[in-house]
Amino acid sequence: MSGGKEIFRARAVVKEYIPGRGFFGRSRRPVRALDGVDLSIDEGEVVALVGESGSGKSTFARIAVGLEPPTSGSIRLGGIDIAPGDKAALRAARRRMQIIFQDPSGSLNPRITAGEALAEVIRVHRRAPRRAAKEAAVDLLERVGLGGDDYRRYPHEFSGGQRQRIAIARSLAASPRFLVADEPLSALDVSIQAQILHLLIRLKKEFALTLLFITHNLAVVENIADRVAVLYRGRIQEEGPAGLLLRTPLHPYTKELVAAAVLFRPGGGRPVADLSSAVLPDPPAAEGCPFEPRCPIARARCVGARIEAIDTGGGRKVACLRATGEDTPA
Amino acid sequence: MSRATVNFAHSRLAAAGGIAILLLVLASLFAPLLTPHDPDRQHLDGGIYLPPSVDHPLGTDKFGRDIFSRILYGGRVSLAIGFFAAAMSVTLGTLAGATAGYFRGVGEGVIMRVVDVLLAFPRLILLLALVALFHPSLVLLVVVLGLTGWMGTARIVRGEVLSLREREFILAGRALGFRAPRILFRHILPNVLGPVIVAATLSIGNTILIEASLSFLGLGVQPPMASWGSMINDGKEALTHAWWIATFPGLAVLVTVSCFNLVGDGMRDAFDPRFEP
Repeated sequence: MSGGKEIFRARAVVKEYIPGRGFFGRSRRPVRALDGVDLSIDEGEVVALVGESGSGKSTFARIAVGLEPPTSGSIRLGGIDIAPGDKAALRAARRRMQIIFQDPSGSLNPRITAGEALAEVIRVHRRAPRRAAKEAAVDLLERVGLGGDDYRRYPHEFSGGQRQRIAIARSLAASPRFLVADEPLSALDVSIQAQILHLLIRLKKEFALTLLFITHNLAVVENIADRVAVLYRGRIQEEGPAGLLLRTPLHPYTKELVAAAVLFRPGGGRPVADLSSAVLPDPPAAEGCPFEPRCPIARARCVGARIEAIDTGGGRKVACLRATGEDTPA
Repeated sequence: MSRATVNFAHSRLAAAGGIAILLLVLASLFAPLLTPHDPDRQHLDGGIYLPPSVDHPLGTDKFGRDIFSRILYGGRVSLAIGFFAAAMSVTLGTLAGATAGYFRGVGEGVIMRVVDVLLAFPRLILLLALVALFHPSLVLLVVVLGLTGWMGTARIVRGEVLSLREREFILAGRALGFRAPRILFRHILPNVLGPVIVAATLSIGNTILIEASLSFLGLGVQPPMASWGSMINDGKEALTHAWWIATFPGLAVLVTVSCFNLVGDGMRDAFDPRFEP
């Protein structure tokens, strides 16, 4: 599946937000949305980044395509660092990476027709004359399952699924190599989700894309991903080949996620831990395992030092003392 | 544009307002053909304070000048000042607001503090000071009205741009590698058009009112040139025995300003692509 050639690399990406100053100018503690994320994606791979809401998935998506700068750490696309303030380099890199947002009704300009939205991108990126751009736009519309007649229609005249097709077509109009899809299905009707998912799988092949697919839906992951990275509170807890990771999760958090997904299948099992404890008021401690307060198998030493991901072989990594056997009783 | 035209026609009140404005503009433009008398011609012997009659449909003033003729000629002045001053202030306001809202930073702080300071000044006092400083002329009036009327638009536009720049289609535009001018002029400003058009039409009405106030105070259009405000001023002392002198130009102001407000509302609907008649 993977050609072995790395196309995307995030190294120790940290993102902190400083909540607005208090009324008397007291500065507050920054909120750490991403806490040292490392992620490498090979050309042609589909990597799913999963996690619950608030885990930092969308923040990572925006940083990955250069919409926001990381607080520290770096993003490399095809070996070129996109983080520094070099606007020309960033713009050049942006031609090779694109993003699809969750809500297609928000990501399309309500005043620009479907066709014009695509033609504009083609004109800007390929410096194509108006007429050629229009033809290319019609061609793209057809490739995402819409008709040439849809060229002149405005976003509000389409259904949610059709809008997401337009958003996908628009991102492809820039002819990217690397595509980030930030929960592209979750704003859609369940009946439409499968269609868009299959469209993405087909387009991935047709356009030779590398895909970072961000989702909280494990059923989707099974269908599309080669590899999975599990994000919890801004840290990647476990990473590995999709099939292996979903069948034999190592990290207790991944186990919870998988069990919760299994619940919705006929004859599914029960969750190993209570997910209702999910809401935690405090930001994670800088040290120790962020999952420790919720973890059914936590030990005292899970609280102390920072827990790094350990390679467990077979392309798998997990950040858990208990799972990697480091915690064998002394 | 054709969609906008279609939607616009569906709003009948707006259409009525638009037609009324069009008639007013045409009547002012073709005033020489429509008026029975020279607007500045005085008839001091027996022609003063005549009530409305066949010969003088809206009566005459204290110099015996025909009110109907003066309203049409005065309309040229009032409408032209209103239109050009509003165009100037809305353009200024849109540019200032869009710059502040999109680029943020120090520029935003400076622009918005200037807005605050200018808004804290009563506009009429500021205008009186400016007009008193220079010789009153039509161009001066337009410039001064334009320079003192842009702050409301700037605030509206800044607010709209602030919320638009965080919308996903603007993020998508940035991700697609569009440069700031393209994002600002092609993706943001068209989405601000509705509020701007409304601000512009309301501003025309308001500017006509302000010009009338200035002329009423004797600092606007200089005699013998007629504007609606100066005519109301002329008629104020005769209000008890010759009500028609101030009343008809007052009605002209009322009708014109109301029509611009109706059109403004209609345009807001017409320029919204989601609006279904």
